[in-house]
Amino acid sequence: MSGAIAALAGGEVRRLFRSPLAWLVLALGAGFMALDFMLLVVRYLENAAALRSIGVTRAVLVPYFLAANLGALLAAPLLTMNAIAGERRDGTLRFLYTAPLGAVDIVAGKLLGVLTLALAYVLLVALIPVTLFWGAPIDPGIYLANLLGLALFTLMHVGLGLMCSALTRQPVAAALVALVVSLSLWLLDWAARLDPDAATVGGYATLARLRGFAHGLVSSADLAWFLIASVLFIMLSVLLVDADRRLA
Amino acid sequence: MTDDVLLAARGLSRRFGPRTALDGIDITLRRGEVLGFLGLNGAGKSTTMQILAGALVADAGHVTVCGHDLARAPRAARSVVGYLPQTPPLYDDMLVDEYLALCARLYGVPRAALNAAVARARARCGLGDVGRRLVRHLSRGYQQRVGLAQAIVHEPAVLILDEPTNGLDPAQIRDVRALVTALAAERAVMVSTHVLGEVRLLATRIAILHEGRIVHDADNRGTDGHVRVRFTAPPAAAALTALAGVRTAEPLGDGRFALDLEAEDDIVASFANAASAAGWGLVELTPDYDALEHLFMRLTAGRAA
Repeated sequence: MSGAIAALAGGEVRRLFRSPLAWLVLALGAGFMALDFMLLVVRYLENAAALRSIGVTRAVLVPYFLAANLGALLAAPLLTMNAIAGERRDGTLRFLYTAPLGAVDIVAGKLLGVLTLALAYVLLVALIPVTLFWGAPIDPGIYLANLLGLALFTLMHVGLGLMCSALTRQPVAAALVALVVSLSLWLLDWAARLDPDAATVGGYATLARLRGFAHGLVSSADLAWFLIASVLFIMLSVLLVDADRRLA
Repeated sequence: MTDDVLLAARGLSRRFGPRTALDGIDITLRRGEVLGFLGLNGAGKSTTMQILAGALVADAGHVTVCGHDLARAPRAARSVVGYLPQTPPLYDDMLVDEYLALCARLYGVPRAALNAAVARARARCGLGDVGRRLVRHLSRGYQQRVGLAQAIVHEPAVLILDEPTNGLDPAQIRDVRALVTALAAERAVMVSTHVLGEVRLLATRIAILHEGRIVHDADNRGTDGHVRVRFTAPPAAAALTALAGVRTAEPLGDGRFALDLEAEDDIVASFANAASAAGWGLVELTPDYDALEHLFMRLTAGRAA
């Protein structure tokens, strides 16, 4: 990694942590997930007889990670909205254009900065259920598969948020567009289930792609889907920044 | 002198929709030179500076900085340019030192030299005691200085400053003038401003841009050779230009003239002797401090966009 990309990523992390937004997102994320985890454990304990057949891993961990993915879906637009749109609005994007950086460097720096924060969220989510390992027969394979699913899902949504941020000079508009697109991709699964004619579009649903990870199955198709979608969004971000630089 | 050319722009054109902002302009900057870049609002000054700094792409023409073509080797070209836009590009949620260090690293200053580069830029711009303060907590004048510091933190060979004294008080303006003069010793500097007096004191060369074209590009003579005279029996302007050493004579009414004299030793004394001998009743002869304003108004009048 070049020094300039590292500097840009470091600057992004500093600025994110100096704003209340990042702390709020992390605090709300951790609080929401801890509460969700506690409720799932309480539900399991209260219905142990009925839920014993599916096991604590499926009864607690699987819905816990599903909620964590939904948390990432909501957090990613907030963390990425300022990355490029905010710089464009404040006139600092033009400053980056005059530095000896390419569009790839700018997007890579921004991406790494936001991913550092996103990684903090994923680590928090990963740490909360670790307590179960001491007192319950947790399947580590399913835990790790869910964690991998969450990491890929977060990466994809950070990429999507970055692309939306590269589209506009209004951070709020960028966040809204990212939210609408990510919720649509999530809800495609429901549409596919409700309407058999829409079954083919269900393959593009992020929720459907997470199902394998949730059950401990890491299929190369799901892995590739998330990675290709992430790369696609990141490449589109690069193209948008490059076009902005040329056509401004 | 060719070796000393640090920036050369040829045939720069740029349109914004139907409006032509720049129409094939040429600009050359040499080491040790401060180019004062003047023009009315909307003349194309900022567009030119953005293109030279690599922030904007020209529709036609090319720019070479220190031998690097801005289009073909953009990184190499941009790395030797320092640019301060009209609004300083500041991250107001960073500390001054953090921000300057970020700028230095983006421009390839090695980690080992980072602290020294930041300290030097801060000292030069009078930011000695604000390194640990958030940019947003600084006054407008200090923020302008931070913007100037980011432009010089990587020791660029070419410095492009778009209205660098915006928002500064008279003492700060004097400091910036001294800083630019000092920096120009080893660099080429281009400064745009609306304050003509500032350009007269600062620039070694003056270019005037009007409606996307360079309408004047010459060495700054300050008040040398520019005089104002008043006669009790004024002659025709042609009679004045017929005198040796008088380039132009512009009637100002009431027996007054603005004269442009050849840059020769004792030219003013020779002119005074000739005018007295002619019996025109020379009663006033003063340096023309408004010569630049006069030139500017003449070149930009009647053709406003």
